[in-house]
Amino acid sequence: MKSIKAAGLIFANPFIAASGTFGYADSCLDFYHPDLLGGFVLKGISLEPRKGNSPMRIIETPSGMINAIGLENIGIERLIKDKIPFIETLHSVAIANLYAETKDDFIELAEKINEIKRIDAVEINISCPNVKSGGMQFGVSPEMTENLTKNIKKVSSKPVIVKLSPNVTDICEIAKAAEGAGADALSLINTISAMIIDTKKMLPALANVTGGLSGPAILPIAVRMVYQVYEAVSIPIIGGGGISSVNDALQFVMAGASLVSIGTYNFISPASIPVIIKQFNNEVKKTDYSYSDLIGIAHRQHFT
Amino acid sequence: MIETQGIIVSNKPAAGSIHRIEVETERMELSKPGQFAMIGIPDEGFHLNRPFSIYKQKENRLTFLIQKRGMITSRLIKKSVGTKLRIIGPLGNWFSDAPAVIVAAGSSIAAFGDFIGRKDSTIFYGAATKDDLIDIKADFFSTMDGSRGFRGNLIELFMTKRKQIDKRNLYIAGPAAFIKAFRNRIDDDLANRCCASLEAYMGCGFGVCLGCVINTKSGYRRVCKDGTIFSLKELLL
Repeated sequence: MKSIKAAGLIFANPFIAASGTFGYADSCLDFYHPDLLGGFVLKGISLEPRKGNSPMRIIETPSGMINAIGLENIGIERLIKDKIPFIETLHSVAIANLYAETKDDFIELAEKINEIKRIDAVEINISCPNVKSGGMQFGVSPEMTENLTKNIKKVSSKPVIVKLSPNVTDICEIAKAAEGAGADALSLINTISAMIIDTKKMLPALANVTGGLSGPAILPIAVRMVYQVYEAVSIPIIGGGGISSVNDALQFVMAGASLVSIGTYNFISPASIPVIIKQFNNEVKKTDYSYSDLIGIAHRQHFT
Repeated sequence: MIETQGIIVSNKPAAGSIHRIEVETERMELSKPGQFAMIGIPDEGFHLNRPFSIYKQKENRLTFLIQKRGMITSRLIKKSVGTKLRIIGPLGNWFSDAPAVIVAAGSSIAAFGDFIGRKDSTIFYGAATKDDLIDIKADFFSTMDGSRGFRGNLIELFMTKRKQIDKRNLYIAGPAAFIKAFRNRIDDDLANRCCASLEAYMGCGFGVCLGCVINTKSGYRRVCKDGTIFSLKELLL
């Protein structure tokens, strides 16, 4: 497959490991080399280390799981000191996922990331459902999305990807706000706000009460959102939500995603991801279309 | 640590709701005492893999003691020989194989397969009834109904033998509530040299999802990757 150009970056293949499912690009080493991916998004990083939420943090659900990790991370200083040296040895596209509670902290974080040469792009996390402030607070309002994206674009020397929340009335409105503010690409979807009640304990199963639903259960919702956003904007889309097979990935591409992200499946069968990438390339070859023609093709086919 | 395919070569009831399942993997690193593997059933749709102690290993063949508890364990114990499994392992840290005193309640005996039959180690093993005890050679048994060995709680049995516990390592395994009850009952001298292998609800099993953390004196630690074995005095249960 020819490499893919998106957001000013070159990806060897369309597969991206999603933030929070890939650690700091060091979690997959026993299974496969990160350079087999088109790119990867690092675990969400904040200015200061974060402890995360109390346990229970995860629970399985039909065809999926709910997590409420709460953005536990090592903070930007340790990222630079302990993790970037390894990431510097890699070649696939490295994206940092930024999380802050305020606009000013987001700006400071983006400025610190500017200093890290090996980071190719930033993904701004305005869609985490598991933190009290920041996160989804920004991402549910078109005005706040636009304002924050604009401010980060002003300071960031790297392409800016905005990760959208599905927990909104109209995702296209948010997508357009991000595009209008200069976002270089959109990433969707983050997890869907959800909860489980433990009927034996008569309590919410997760300590955070609610969490984010991921896995195959959310795939049709994510495909629908990518399909709609593709019609609303003209910047590239990184599409994902429950991908665990070649056919799943193809659905996102045909809905309009230039790149696809694998999240929860990194927990389930990491070793099969390079196999999926290889099979995907073969499947694309089998069609009469180039990869770029397949992007959004479902919009151009006529019902007969 | 690797991910590989395993095939069930034997599945037999071991005691109560526990089955002894042997799996021949395509390849597997040699596990150390107390390590575990994640098991999934790839042909049955999406589910999280489940963590199980590697009870015994001979080259690529792993033996697990699997107790029926929820959806996946209920399915696993019914699987016939030839069923394909997804296996990720060996995972977690491990027990030193120096002589030890072991306290294992119910299915947690699975964490101590390598110590069973060793003359230099002492095993306390308890369950609800004699039918819930797998057929192994232990030094002291307890059952709640008194059908074998000491009648009552395993921790109480252990405390009756407190004077015989020398300076060997002390190992315990089980759910957090059992470990907490044990810690609250024993003296500081024992607590200071006790290591506990924790059970936890896990997402990935290899340290990336951060779903299985527990509270310790040094903050949240991942049961799967920083454990499953922790120094008892580190745990804030």
